[in-house]
Amino acid sequence: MDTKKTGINRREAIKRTGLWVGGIFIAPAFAGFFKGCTPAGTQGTVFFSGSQMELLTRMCDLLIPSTATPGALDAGVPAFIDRMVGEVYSPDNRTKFAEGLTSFDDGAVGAYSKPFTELDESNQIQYMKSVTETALNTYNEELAFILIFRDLCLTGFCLSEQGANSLLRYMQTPGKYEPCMPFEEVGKTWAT
Amino acid sequence: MNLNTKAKQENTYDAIVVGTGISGGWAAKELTEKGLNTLVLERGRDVEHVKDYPTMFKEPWELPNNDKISYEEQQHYEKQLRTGYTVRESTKHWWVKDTDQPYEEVKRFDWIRGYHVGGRSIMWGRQSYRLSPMDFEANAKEGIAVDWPIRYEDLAPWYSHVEKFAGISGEALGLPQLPDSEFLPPMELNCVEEYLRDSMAKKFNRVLTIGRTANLSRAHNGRGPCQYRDLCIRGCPYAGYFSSNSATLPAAKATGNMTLRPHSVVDSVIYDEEKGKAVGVRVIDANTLEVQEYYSKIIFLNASCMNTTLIMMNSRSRRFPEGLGNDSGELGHNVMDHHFRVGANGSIDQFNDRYYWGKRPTGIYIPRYRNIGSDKRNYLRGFGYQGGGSRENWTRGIRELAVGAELKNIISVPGSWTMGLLAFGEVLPDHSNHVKLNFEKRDKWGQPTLVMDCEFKENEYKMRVDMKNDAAEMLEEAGFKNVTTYDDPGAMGLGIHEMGTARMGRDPKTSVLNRWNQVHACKNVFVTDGACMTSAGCQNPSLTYMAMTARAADYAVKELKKGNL
Repeated sequence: MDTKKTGINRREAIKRTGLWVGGIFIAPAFAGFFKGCTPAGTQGTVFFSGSQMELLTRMCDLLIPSTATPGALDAGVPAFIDRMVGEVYSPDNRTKFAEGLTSFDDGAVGAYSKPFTELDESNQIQYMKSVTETALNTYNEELAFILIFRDLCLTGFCLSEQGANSLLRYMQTPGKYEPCMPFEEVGKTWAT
Repeated sequence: MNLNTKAKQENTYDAIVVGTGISGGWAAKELTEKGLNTLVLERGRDVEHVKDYPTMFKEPWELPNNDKISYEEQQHYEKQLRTGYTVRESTKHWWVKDTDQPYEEVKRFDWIRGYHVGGRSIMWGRQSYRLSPMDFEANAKEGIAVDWPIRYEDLAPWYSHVEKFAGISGEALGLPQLPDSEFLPPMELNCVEEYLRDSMAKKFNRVLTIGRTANLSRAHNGRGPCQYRDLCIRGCPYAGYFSSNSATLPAAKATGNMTLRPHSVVDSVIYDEEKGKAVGVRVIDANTLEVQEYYSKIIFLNASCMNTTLIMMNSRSRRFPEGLGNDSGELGHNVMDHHFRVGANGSIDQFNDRYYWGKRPTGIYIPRYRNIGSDKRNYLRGFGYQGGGSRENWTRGIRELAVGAELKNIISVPGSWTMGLLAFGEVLPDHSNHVKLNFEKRDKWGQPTLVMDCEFKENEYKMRVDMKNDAAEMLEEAGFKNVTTYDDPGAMGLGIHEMGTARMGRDPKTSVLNRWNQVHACKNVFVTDGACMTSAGCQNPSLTYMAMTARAADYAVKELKKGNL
């Protein structure tokens, strides 16, 4: 999210990517930044508390880790989710999402006697998969929290500059239409 | 209002066009090209082609919150948001705020509007189909509403006229129910669409073709070609599709005969009781609220179906106490739209080594086949399908168990090919579907507001059964798997094809406009937007408004020269 390129207004950019501390703009690297923010209501987040951001950050990193290609944290996905929930969701849905996050963590405590962030990675993966499996197998009028989370995380990543141009392929102006070319000539899923 | 003679002269034109959308742009072009000094009024701000498309080059990551507007902002667009696709961060400047532009709903009515130069011609779906001989004859044959005062042959040369300028890409098929346009080369079907086309031809003797669209498959009249970005709704820097801003208004401007006046809310048409005709329009300056009168020999109302109706209803005189041209009592009645949001989707386990390059700005089209020839259903008229084939993208990763590198591997390759069919059906004109004015409740320009009282009726609901089942059947017969259907009619207006409130007809007792789109009893006022429609067909209507406007403008100028207006 290079703010120079984006053309979004400066205040908005700052809200999205960094902090004002004593009048000096601190532009953090995304990875690990929010892990450092612990107290609830920390400046720099729109909606989530420090501990909620910590949990979300770990969940994002687990779902789409940095491998040979960038991951969710490289693309600033936790901040994207914070903004989406804090700015776009209705107050009701914000509360529901926060409650979902809490029950997700409570579930981890129930199953492993430890909060999610303190589990080792294999247990985190196992737990996230089991919660997803339950959600996929349960017919529910409202989409389960974990599926909303996966949607937000995938959207934030796949439509980010990093995600769209690494794991996926992106081109704003293709210039031509080829309806059925060999897949290898494209090579990856189109981001849009 | 006291105007001295000089001011009156300065405010006098040969013609006034109210509105700059699809039809207003055409009225401006045709009238100015025929030499008329023309005032073109637009209630909203000016939008210059390219210069005023602020989001045309924005990348997805440059648009905050996945292009969604904030909850706070959503509160201003309660009705405009009902489509689910219109108001976004990248397009919000094209849509009215419902909080600024209120209307009442006796029954839910989704009135989706854009007030600026170019109107909805910037955001339109660009699908362009001619009505057919069958469509113009249906009302008379079936005894529905009133007969169209024209037939296909009256409009055919004007379809050709506008198509040659606008540029419509598509495939000529020679179908009686969907006459061919003057086509630019068709955009291509993909392998799955071709596969369904072949199956449908063999098993059902039905046609599938590429969507006929006002996107330029090659450069045309100095515009385009399409760059396959599929970002049309933001305004196209390449002029790859037809809009008033990219095509008709520049042509009108080039004549030197156009005066374009944005921020001009038309209050009413001024009717001169002695002369027995209209002499001009009363305009409210949207910024200063100052009222100004403008005069002309002829007036084209192209404010969009509902707003043209509002202006006419608000133009009350001794001669027309119920609104200009409303001797019949039909003004505001017979509201039509298209009903849709019904169809089926399926996937197919073939062509997995194939993918596409570029985002084609049109889908497929399946022309109407119901109630044609020997086919007789338990409802009148019919429907067509739009839709298309594509491969599942990264969103399929949401409903996967996979986590981590495993998930990344899954989403880095596209999923199965899927095919969607979405039906668009004809809505019958029905007198009870109507709008009226609330003179008590006024907007911030002091204008009375509209009250909508419309609904889909029995014929539409019966048709929807076929619209859903046929889609599923055609997909299943072709071997598509996981075929699912949907049916969510929403409400009138959602098709953004409002029509019929000042219908054309042969008899002034039962219609508002004559065969030349003239108000029966006030012949120097022409209405050529959606309000003029006597029936809806199941085809997207904009191309018909273009043709109707060019035809009426030609007639108006000839009559003017003969001294008849």
